[in-house]
Formats: sequence, C-alpha cells, structure tokens
Amino acid sequence: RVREVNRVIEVAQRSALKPQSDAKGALPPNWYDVLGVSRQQLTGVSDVRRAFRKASLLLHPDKCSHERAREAFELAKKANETLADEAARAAYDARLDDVKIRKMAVEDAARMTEAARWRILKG
Amino acid sequence: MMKSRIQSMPRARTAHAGARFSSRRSSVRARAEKVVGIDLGTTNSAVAAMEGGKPTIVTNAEGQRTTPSVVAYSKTGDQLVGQIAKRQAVVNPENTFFSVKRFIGRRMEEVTSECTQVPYTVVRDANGNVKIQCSNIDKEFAAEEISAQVLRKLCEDAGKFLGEKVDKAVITVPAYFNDSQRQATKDAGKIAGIEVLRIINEPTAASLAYGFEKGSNETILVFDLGGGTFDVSVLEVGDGVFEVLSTSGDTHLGGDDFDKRIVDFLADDFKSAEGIDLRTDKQALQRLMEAAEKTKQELSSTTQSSVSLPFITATADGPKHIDTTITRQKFEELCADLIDRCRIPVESALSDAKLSLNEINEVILVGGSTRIPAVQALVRSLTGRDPNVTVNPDEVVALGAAVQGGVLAGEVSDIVLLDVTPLSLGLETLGGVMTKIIPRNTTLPTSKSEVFSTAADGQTSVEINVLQGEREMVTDNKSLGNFRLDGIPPAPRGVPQVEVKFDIDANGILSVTASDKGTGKQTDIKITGASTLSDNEVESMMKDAEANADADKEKRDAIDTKNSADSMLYQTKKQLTELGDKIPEDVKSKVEAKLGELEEAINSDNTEKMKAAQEALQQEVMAMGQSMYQQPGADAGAAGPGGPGGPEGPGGPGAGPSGAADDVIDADFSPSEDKPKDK
Repeated sequence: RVREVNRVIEVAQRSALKPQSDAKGALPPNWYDVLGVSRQQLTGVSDVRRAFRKASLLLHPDKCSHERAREAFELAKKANETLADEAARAAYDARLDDVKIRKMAVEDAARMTEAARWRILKG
Repeated sequence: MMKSRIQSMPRARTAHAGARFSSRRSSVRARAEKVVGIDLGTTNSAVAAMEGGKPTIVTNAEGQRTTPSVVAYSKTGDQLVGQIAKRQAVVNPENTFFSVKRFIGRRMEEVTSECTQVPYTVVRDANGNVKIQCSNIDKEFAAEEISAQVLRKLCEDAGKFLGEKVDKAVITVPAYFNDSQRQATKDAGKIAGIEVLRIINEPTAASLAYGFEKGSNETILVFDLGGGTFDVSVLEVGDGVFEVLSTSGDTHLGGDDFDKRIVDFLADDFKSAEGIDLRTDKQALQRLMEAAEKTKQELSSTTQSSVSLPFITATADGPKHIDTTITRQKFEELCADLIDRCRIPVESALSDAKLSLNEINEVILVGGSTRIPAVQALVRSLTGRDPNVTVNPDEVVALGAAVQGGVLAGEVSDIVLLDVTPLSLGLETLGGVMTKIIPRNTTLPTSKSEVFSTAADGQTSVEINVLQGEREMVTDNKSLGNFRLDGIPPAPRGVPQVEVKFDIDANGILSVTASDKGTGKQTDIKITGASTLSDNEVESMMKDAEANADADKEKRDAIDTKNSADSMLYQTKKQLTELGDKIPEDVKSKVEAKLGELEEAINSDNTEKMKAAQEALQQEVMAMGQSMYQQPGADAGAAGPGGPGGPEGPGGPGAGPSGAADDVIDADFSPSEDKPKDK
C-alpha cells in the first residue's frame, strides 16, 4: 500500500512537466501511468474504471493511513475523470502527443536560463 | 451470553491480524473497538453492528429492532426515550418531542412550516436558532440535545446487547443535509458522549448494505423516502468500490407530510360538520396525528381504513366523535402533489450522473414511506422497472452504516465508499452572487482553488463568505461562515491576487484558506462554525447530559435495588413458611433477624442499606439451604426451587436414573437448543 502511494506520487511528479509561470506550459501528469494502464485503443472505459477501483481500494484515506494517501487518491481520481470521459481523454491524448515538442521547448528554456529569467522579471 | 462468546472469537482474531498487518506497514489506527452504525431517523432509529463479518441489527432494551425517535418529559420531570415516550404522547403532547430531525441544524426562518405541524412549542433563541420548549421541567432544549438523548439510549442498549461499551459510531443523515445539519448531528453525538467517526448519507448506506454481499458490477438508483426527507442517489457498485455518481433530494418531504394531509382532511371535515377546529387542541391534534399515521400504514396493504376517534372533543351538546373511513384512492388524491414532487430529484440525479434510465440496473427502495403503493407506482412509471424490494426499508440504512463502521475500524478490508458532496460550495462575489468552487457531486476528498481580486481601488481587505447551495444569489443559499483577509497592499482594483482554496477531507470537513499572492499573507477557517451551537454550548450540554445520565442511573439503581429487595423479602418469607419446622431454630432466628434488617432498610428507602441487608440475608439463606441438606432424611428436591443451586442442581441427578440413554440425548440437545434461542 505504501509502495503504491509512493509509486503514484512519484509517477505523477516525474511525468508532469514542472509547472511553468504561465498556465499554458503546465502539463498534467501522465494519467495512464498513474492508473497503470496502457495508452492503446484497446484500453477502454471499463479498463480505466477497473484500474481506478483497484487504486481506490488501495489509496483512499479510509483504507490507507499513509500521510500522502489522500494526495495519491486525488491523483488517481483525476486520472479517472480524464480517462473515463471519452471527450476529455481525446483532448488529453492530443496534448500528450504535444509533450515531446513541449519537452524540447522546456529543455531549451532551461538552457537559456538567463534569458528566461529576464523574461519573467520583465513580465 | 452464549452468543457473545461464540461470535467474539473470530472478531478478536481478525482484529489482531489486522493490527499486526498494518503496524508493520505504517502507523496504526485504533482497532478492535466496536463501531456501531446508527440510522438516526425522523420518526424511527435503528442500530447495527458488524457481527461475525456481517452487519446485524441490534435490538433495543425493549427487544425491538427500531426505536421511535421520541423523547418526553413526564410531569414529575422523568425523562422517557423511545417507545415508552411515544406511548404517552397523547396525554402529554406539549412535552413529547418527535420529528426533531426536522429542526436540527436549522435556523428559525427555515422551519416556519414545520413549527406549525408539531404540538410542542418551538421558539427562536437570541441567535435565531431553533429551541424546543419543555414546560414540565421548565427548560429550553436545542434539537441536538433531544437527538442526543435518543443516541444515548441507542448506544446504551446496543452496549448491553453486544456486551461491550459502545462509544464510537457512524451516523447517517439524509444525503441532502447541508453542512450545518451534518455538524449539528455530529454535535448531538458529542453531547451523548459518542465519538462520531463519520457522518454518511442514508442512500449511500443503503447501497452499502445492498451491495455488501453482491459481487456483481451494477449501477443502482436508491430511492429513499423517509419520515421527513427524500433522497435519491445514483451509484456505481463494483469490485468492492461504492462510487456515488450523483445525489439529489428534498429535505422537506417525507412520511410526516402524508400524515399531515390526512390530519388536515379529518380536521377540515370535522370543522365543517361541528364548527370546531381540532388543530387548536393539542391533545386532539396528537390523537389525530397518530390515527393518521396508522391509517396511512394500513392503506399500504388494504384499500380502505376506518378512523375511529371517540370523545375527540366535547361541546355544550356533549362529547363528539370521529368515525369515518378513508379509502386508498382518497389518500392518493390527498397526497397526489406530494407524490408527484418525488419526480424532480430522480430526474436531476440521473441527469447529474449523465445516465439514462436504461443504464440503471437496479432501483432500491429505502424508508418506510416507500411502502405506499402510489409511491411504488411512481417509481415504476419513472424507471420503467419493478423496484427491488429485497431489502428491509427500515433497517438497511443502519446496516450500511455498520458496514462503513467496519471499514473505518479496519474490520472490513475489501470495501471502500467514495462519497460526494451533495451541494455545491463557493463564495460570495461582487453583486451578491455565489461563485461555485466545488460543484455538487464531486467525489471526496477534494480540493480546489481559484484566484480572485478586489472590487475597489485601494481595497486592503477582502471578506470571504463561504456558501453552500445551488442558487445563483447569495441570499438563497446557506452561509457556512465568513472570515476576512487583511493587509493587502493598496492597489488599483482587479490587481491584487487572492487565492482561495477549498478543501474537503474524507470526513467531509471543509476548510477554506485565502492567501494574498503578493504578500503571501494567509488566513483560513475550518468550517465548524456552520453548526448552530458553539463549542462551549456543546461542551456544557455534554456535561448536562452526563450529569443527567448519572442521576438517571442512580434513580434506576435505587428502583432496581428496591424491587429486588422487595422480591427477596417475599421469597424468603415464603420459604420460611413453606419449610416451617424443617429449619433448625437457630438458623431460622438468624434469617429472621436479617429479614427484619432488610425490611427496615426498605422502609427507610436507603439504597445502600438495602444492598448491604440483601447481601447479609443472602448469606443466611444460603446457610439455611445448607442446613437443609445436612439434615438426615431431608428431601433434597424440596429445597431445590428456593435453594441456591437452582433447579438444575437437583434436576440433573433426578433425571439420571430413568436411563443413561436419556442423558446422552439431553446433552446433545442442549447446545442446539441454545443457538436459536440466542438468535
């Protein structure tokens, strides 16, 4: 259980791009990884629901006294909200496809720390 | 006895295993204490507990499976709770408090219609909260205190039944109760000396009990029409996860309203015939209400019911009676609009869950009022299917609360309940409108934040007014509390950024934080102020209730002691005369001396003395029994009934000589006979 809490939080942190100063740059965590399902056509709503139920039994604060259980459960909940809703999932997938490009952009930004900092100060 | 011994064993084992399991993994919750589930109803309450891994209804001291939620104070100031209070309602209408759930956590302006429906006096206190007047002991009670009396009785009875102290509970409330009503229910528990581990929604509890043994994945709709409130919940149940998708309801609709229609019909009828309004006569009103409830219940199984109320009132011409018949059709006509009102929440619950009717696998009826044929017909026409009637509508909520109690105590491992917030939460923004932060039907726990700004140039503080409800305007919603964030640096309007964060934990406790993004300054409140009582008030009521409980216990003890002393006196005297000269003289005189002491103690009404004298007498009686056996030629059997050994001692050997085979059969039967008796 503790391992599951840590896994979810770690996955969420690793997969999410660090929040940027502007809202557009902030990307949500990889919800597929959070629930432990694969991103394929075969992964239907029922698979997502089943994974979410499994996560709920492990992570809900009523079931787990780990101090970050609630945080992990809320991540699973958000993953479920996004992936179990077809429209929301399609939009999320589109964004996810964009990740590579964004990642590069972020790396660029990191390399140009000075410039970035200047821009923020100025703004 | 037998029962608690047998059933506590597996329980102890699970609890132990559970504790060992989790202590290795993380910090442990307190385990192995009995958590009961309480359905604190408008008209009736029920208690259940997990017994041998299954939720079981706990019967009360009177042997009933439900207890009327009625508290009364007699002329002598004695407190009566439950059936005994309900029975004397007709002769004591002003001091018999029922349906107080309609007032709990409410403000006076919210309950104007309810006030006129009860024969006791409801007043407004200095803060605008509801107080209930009790003339017999000249006191004003908060609704929480009355509910606390009921809770106290329920827990004490449950403690006796289960053979262990009960001070932890999960209590249910209508799903559509707002934060203030929930908090008030929690306060009632506190006043009764009970730790309320969780407040859960009644329809959710019902689904827990329903789905507890069912393994299948289903989408269910719970239709809960109780004594005072109406709730609808849509849930998805599967793999042990009970996920509430939506909840809707009407907090002003229930069985009481159906009764009221019958009362009005009878009273109007009587008024046009005799010119007297019975509703102004409290005693007549109470009788009318009881007759109406009975008629309503009868009409669920028969098509007509007679109402006979002799001597309901008297005029100069002599006594007046009501003797009439109400048909089911008439009843349905009287209540048509009420029944029709059940439609709206069903429809809104379905649309909130984004489901259509054919996606619902099962409709479960909960609450006594769902026995009304017209209500069942409505459900059938709304959902297009026959509702599930396998659950007992009076007990299922308490059973479900016990399951959740088991989950929280760690006793039930493979179930989790994902509940929602039934009403939207938000805050007041410019122009007196409510801006919603957490929409209704959001799964708990949850947190959400939004950034707001100032409305005027140079404004240095903002007022955060926390609201609950669905309406657009602040005044139409319930204010849960407000606080102020000061020290915002002066700036043109719209520039400062104030982030407001709403957070609801798994217990349903809402906390709100506001912080100025510019300065990092932060203020917050935990919404407990939504309760109609302050912490101090709860504290003092708790002490009051405890003191009363002690006094009650003392009184009870005194009565019990006196009764047992009386009966002992009588028994011993009887024995002395029966046995007569078979008793050695010296023994007899000793017994008689102690008898005199006991009699004296009874006459002086001194409980302690009575206890001591009883004990002393017991010793002598025992010595007397012994001397009987030692006497040569004494008939052991004759001493049996009165003797200390009881009938079993002499009975066993007596049965022996008739045949060894008999003995074996006897021994075989006794355990199997014990079991059904205990259940």
